[in-house]
Amino acid sequence: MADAVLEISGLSKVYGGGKPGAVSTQALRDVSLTVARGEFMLIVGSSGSGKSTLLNMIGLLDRPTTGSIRIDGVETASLPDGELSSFRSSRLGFVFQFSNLLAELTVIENVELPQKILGGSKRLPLPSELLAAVGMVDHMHKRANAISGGQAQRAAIARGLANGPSIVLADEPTGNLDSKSAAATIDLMKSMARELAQTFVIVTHDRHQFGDVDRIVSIKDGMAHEGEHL
Amino acid sequence: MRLALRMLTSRKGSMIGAILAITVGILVIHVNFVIFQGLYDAFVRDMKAYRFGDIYVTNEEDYIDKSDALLVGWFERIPQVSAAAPRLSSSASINATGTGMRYEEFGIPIIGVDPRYDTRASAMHETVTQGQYVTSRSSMVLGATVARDLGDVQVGDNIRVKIVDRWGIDQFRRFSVSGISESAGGAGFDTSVIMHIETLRDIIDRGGESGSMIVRLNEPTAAANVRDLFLAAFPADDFKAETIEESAESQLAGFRSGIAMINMIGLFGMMSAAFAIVTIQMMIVGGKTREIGIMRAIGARRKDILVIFIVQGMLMGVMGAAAGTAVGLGYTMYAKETKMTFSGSVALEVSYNWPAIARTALLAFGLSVAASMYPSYRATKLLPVEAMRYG
Repeated sequence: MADAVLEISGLSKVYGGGKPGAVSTQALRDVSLTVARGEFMLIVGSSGSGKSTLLNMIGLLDRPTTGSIRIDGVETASLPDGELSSFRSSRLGFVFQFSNLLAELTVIENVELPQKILGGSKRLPLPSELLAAVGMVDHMHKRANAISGGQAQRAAIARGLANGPSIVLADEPTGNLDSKSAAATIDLMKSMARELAQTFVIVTHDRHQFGDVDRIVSIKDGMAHEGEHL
Repeated sequence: MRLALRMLTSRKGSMIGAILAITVGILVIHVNFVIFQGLYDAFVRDMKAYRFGDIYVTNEEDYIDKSDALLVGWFERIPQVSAAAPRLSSSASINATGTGMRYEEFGIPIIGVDPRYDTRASAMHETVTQGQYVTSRSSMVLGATVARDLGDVQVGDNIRVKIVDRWGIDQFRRFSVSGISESAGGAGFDTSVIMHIETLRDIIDRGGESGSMIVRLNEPTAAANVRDLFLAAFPADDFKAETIEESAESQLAGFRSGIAMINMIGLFGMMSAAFAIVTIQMMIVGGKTREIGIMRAIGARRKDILVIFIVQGMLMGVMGAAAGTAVGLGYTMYAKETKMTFSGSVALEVSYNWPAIARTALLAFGLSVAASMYPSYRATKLLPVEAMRYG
């Protein structure tokens, strides 16, 4: 695939089993897939299928038992903890199910946070412009706990884009929203993907909310399948 | 910094609790300092003013046989010296008759003074609360306790005194009471009697001799220099000259131990504050697990998390140290302005010991930061995925 932003090969994750007598659970089995730059991809699957585990592996929040994850051509499996943090900070953006804005900060401070963690070496979009793009410019000085769930998720998308990531990883981004807010959030992510040529990898259990997307990967019993196979 | 402060203020109750703990720790140390250091300094002040002066001169082997005029004159030529006065001590049995009863007291300390010199070199005369200081060779000042024990002797009453002279022979004299000496604290003359030095010399047959010489300085910091100068000027004599710290050492050593012990109690109070901070920081870390996970997910390194919680400890330390120091200084100021005493004891000699105040505040700050170390370390050990799942 031309200009791959993410290349996964032979990825497995086994939980437990480290100690004698402990029961082990294989969450992922030999997953291999490649994501092209600018792709809007869904990872779908039922509860417990391993889709969130896969997203955590891609997001470098958890380490695989075996296999390789290359992001922007960099092999991440062997990176030490400190470099993983730097890598996350510079290459990955996150949107969580519950927005997970820091309640102590204002909306714009939440968007600024990834840029402050990253430091000043990379040319980055202005937080106020990002908030304008997601329709939150009027709320940017409000505390994060003083806005609605839908607004918080829009702000979370702006935060996910703030560090100019190679991939935005979204874990059930509409799972906590009413249908109207969910539809608005999906539209927003799609328009961002289009306008910024931004790669989105989204985990969802409700594929139908998303309508047309570039690609769907299904996870069942820890194994990945191209397309919808649920 | 901003995030640390906001995380802290989001738990106002815990933050106020931690700051109060530090404040109380510092306040305990300040109160202890005001009371016990104040008592110590008051004791030193009175010992110096009444008994030892800034420099206390004796003869190591015997009585001082140089004349009063010579020694006083020698000292008073030195610019740093304010005055000097000879003293002579002995003990007496005293009896008095009043309301048909005869009272007798034994082993009463006698201090012989020359009022011409002594009123300039010491504050002994200021302790006379009734009547007058030693006015003549046949009058004496009784300590208030002695006067009470002798059947409440009053100014103008006559008493009979028995003193053993240098040859072991009992000498009897009659005196009229010119005054009563009374002072707070233990450094005064409530249990002694004061008479003219020439009278005492006559009685014990020590003409021209003194037991000691007290020297008052107008620059107390020059005490060691003046002492050394004096000893160098009289190399052939067996003079012993001591500064107040040296002469009152035996009385002050006990005080110092007491102060050290009380300060230890204050430090234990401060340690308790540190434990409170550990607990509160652990609660904050526990309550912010999800936030720590989020920050780790978006790229915060372990040291970034460490800094947030250490900064919280520093903020609590600064606020607690500032509040504790302010309240402590307020108490100190109150004690100084009101000349605080306890149950009629000596008035505390309250001073602002800025190095000690700064040390206490720094100690509180340091303990607060140290107490934040373990909770901060625990926060850095949280794995982002676990923190977000269980936070």
